[in-house]
Amino acid sequence: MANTQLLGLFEDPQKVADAMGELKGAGFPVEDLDIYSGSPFPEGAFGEHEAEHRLFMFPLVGALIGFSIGLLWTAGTQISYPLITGGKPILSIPPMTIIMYENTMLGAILFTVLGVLFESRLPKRDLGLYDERITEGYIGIYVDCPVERASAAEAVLNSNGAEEIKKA
Amino acid sequence: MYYRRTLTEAQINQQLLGTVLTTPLWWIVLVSLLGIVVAGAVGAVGWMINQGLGVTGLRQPVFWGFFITNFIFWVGISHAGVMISAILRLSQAEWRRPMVRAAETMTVFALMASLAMPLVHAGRPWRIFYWVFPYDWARGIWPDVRSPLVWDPIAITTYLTSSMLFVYTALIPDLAIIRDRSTGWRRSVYGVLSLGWHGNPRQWKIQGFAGILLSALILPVFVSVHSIVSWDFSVSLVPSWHVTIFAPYFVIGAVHSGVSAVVTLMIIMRKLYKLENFIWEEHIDALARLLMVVALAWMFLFWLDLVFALWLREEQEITVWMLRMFEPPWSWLFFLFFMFSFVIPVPLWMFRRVRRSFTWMLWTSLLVNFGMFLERFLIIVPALMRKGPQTFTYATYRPSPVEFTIIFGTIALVCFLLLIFSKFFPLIPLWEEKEGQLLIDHVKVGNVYVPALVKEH
Amino acid sequence: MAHEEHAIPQVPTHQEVASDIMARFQNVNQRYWSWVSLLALLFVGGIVGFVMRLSDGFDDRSNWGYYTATLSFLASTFLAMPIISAGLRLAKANWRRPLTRLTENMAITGVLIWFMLIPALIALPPTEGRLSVWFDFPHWMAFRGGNLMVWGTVVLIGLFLLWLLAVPDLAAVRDHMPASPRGKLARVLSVGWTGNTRQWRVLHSGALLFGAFYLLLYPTLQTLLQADFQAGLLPGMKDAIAPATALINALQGAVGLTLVVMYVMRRFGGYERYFGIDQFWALSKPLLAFSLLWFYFWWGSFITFWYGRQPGESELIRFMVLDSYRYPLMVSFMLNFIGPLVALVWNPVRRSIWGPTIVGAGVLVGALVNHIRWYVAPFSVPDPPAGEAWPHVLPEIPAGQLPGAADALIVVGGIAGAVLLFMLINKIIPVVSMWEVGEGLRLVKVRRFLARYAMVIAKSH
Repeated sequence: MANTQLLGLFEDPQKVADAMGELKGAGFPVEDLDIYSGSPFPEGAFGEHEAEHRLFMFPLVGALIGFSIGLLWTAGTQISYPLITGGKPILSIPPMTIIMYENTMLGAILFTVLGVLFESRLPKRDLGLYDERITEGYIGIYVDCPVERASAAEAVLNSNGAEEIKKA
Repeated sequence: MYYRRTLTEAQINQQLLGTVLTTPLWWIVLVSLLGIVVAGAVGAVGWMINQGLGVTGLRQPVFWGFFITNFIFWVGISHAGVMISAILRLSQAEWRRPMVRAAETMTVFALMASLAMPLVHAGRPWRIFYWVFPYDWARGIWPDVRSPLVWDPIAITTYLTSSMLFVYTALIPDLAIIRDRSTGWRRSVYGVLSLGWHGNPRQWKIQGFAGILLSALILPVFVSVHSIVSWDFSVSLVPSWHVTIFAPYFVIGAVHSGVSAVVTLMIIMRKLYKLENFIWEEHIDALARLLMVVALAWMFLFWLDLVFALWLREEQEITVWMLRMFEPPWSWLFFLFFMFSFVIPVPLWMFRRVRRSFTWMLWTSLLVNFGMFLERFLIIVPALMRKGPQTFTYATYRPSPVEFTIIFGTIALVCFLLLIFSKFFPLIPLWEEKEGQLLIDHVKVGNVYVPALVKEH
Repeated sequence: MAHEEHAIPQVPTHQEVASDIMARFQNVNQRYWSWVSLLALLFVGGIVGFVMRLSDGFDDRSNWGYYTATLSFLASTFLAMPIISAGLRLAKANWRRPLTRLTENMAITGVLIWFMLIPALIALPPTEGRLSVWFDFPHWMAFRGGNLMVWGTVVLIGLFLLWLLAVPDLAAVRDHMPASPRGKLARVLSVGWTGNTRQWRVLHSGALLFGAFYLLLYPTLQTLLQADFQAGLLPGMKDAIAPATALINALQGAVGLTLVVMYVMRRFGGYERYFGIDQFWALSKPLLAFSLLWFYFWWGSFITFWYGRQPGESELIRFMVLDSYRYPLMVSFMLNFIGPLVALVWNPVRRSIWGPTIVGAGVLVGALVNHIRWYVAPFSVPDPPAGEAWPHVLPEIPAGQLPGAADALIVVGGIAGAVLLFMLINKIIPVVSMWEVGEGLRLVKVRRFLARYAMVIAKSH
């Protein structure tokens, strides 16, 4: 079954919420609907599908990797060049702690940023069905549906005051 | 917070992307002037490398002078970004919105300026690379991790990397806005930088979590960076440096100077970029109240430093403090530092009229930063002047014109970089402003409409 | 989760809340009296322990180490709680409203704490010849008079704040229970409050002003506690960060105690609707922050001494960290830092009732052990022989001192006494502030936001 995509552009957020409600009522699965906006709205404001994510795992993994690297290079350099300075032991835990801590945090932050990109499904090479007016205040409803249901979707969007409907 | 008229998204785009999409004459003039100062500083560095460190005021035993003072000063300024952005984001303070990006960007450029100072201070900067690149590794002589001078670059590069990633992550939605407003090669470049951002709920949700998660992760880094810089001093045995209070004292001093720098930056930005619709009296009022709390905490820690320095009644400790407080010209500098950092600004900030005046806040914030520069100078130099127990080792320090040129050059460099940044990226986050306007509401109590906010949870 | 988050929020009216709180306030049941009796018994046990120590006199200062540790623990947990109220009021946090009164009510423990201070001061040696913040001031005027004055001022400001912020609710008690003894007491304490505009303005301004005074003066109390009862007795102890460390530990302890008390009020007092997930979640964040700072401040002190390796410093590290008091440090390390970090870094734990409560309870135990380390150790260091100057280096490392029977009675009795006072004051002043919660309810509304419902919250003033 071939699918097609539609993008309805609205100025009024309330009309978007009403259109989303009607689309869901007309049997369009919420996972096949998406909203494009130039600014964030409170979660669930349009009745959209609420995404689940595992962003919190990324800093944990990054921290473990950073900690391990920090431990390896601080212990490794001290053992490789065992020079006693200031009466401190060869494996001096307090200074190692400081460097290991910094490496842990760096690892956590780097992996968090990677996680942000991954969970946001970025980078995306092709913008696809999109309109620049979305960053001017318009809100887009993106519908991915079978070809035979496209006209029904279009009708719902039009009846709720879509300014324009773009098709793939 | 008392909210003004709301703007449409198109109006916000137009007003905040003004200097990105066009190039005003004042921008060209200012960048040129700052560029000349920076070039002068680079020339001074070149002269110093050519002639040797003797052209500075550094003499035995004072081998840390203006350059190290400036290093600590800029690391201190860099703390503003995380203070404003991370802490206020975590506490969901609405008034943070216009300042977060400018503060974070100032952090990045302040850290760059601070990193330049140890390189300049080394006298022969290329020798530093032998310390980290294979030349010494080949002989098996590794950097000594027990040295705080090894902790410093690790901490600062961690903080710099984190801050840059923090700025970039929050910039992505705005890069998409500029992409949509651009044509030709600019559209391609911003398209690549925005990574194909659409603005669907998933992306906005992750963006929100990213802000909170990165804020929570960068906060411990922010505390550790200036603490590690402070341990350059406190793990040594120089009198008046070997104290346990330095870590929080440096951090709170950094927040004091950093937030003051943000105040200065916001007021100048408002004037130059005509941001009256976005930067209001309420914002600098809130910053001034934060500054009062920080200044009081700083004063408590300063007092602890002084009292416990004299606690053991060690002769060398007392000598250094007497020099700082009672021997001219150091006593004059101490007086100025105390007046400018605390005595003048803090009582003034207790008055609402002062807190809500852009002129008063500009001058008090500049005073604070001048005072805090003097504070760092007075921590470092007098202690070294009286480092040894024998009086024949006593010396003095007088910064040379070369050092002054380089210091002014770093100030110009940070301003220069901020202006260049503003040419390509908006200094106020557009999407944050739009979100802020969306959440404005009111609650009717009797006949009064009390400003309110929509809370998601 | 979606249903929970986007269900229509329920906002009660001020009248519903006031009636509910007044009903709980009026109810004094058998269980309450059982607990009061038990606490009174334990407190009497504490007095017995105190008398046992008193009978030994003040010549051997090591007898008063656990007593001072108890005093310090109480001052750093119970007496630090009004800071939470003052700080959150300055920050205008709306979620604070149900819990401010219980933190303010803790100020009553200041009365016990101030009287406990007197024997501890007598146990200290004169300042002449030893290092102290008082330098060469005569000791009776300096550390004895100075401490009594500073601690007394903090206690008085706390009590004033407690009374001021309770006046509107005392008026409510006066009006609802006119004939009862509590109603008559409320009539006196409410000083004719009618709730006109001028009175409310004065109340709000006074609360902010005296809250700020409390916030500013409390660090001085901790500075004197550290300087006189610890650093002044430990040769070579030049630790400028110690008062700041003590302050952060106090804030951590106060937050931990607030969480535990809120849980107890929920579980046994029926106050679930006031001490909900919002309060526990909101307090878990500063608890995590203070736990990280606990380590940071301890580390700032340790790394300086470890690197310095000066003669006095090495001995102090061995005494307080590596040898004699190694185990107490390990316990408080786990309970005040590792435990909170590992637990509270997870959002599901922070955003629960049980998570922050368990961590808070652990923090309190860790704080008590840490205070024992901080004060039993210096009190166990003997004075120099008569005629000799106080040394700058520990001459020998004393062994760790375990508690005796009297010490155990004092520790348990001291804590029981503070809790007893708190329970008694809760039946004079309602433990949840009716006026403050009511004020908050007026600043909240529920509205439809596109396809969902959302809370709209205004800030007062």
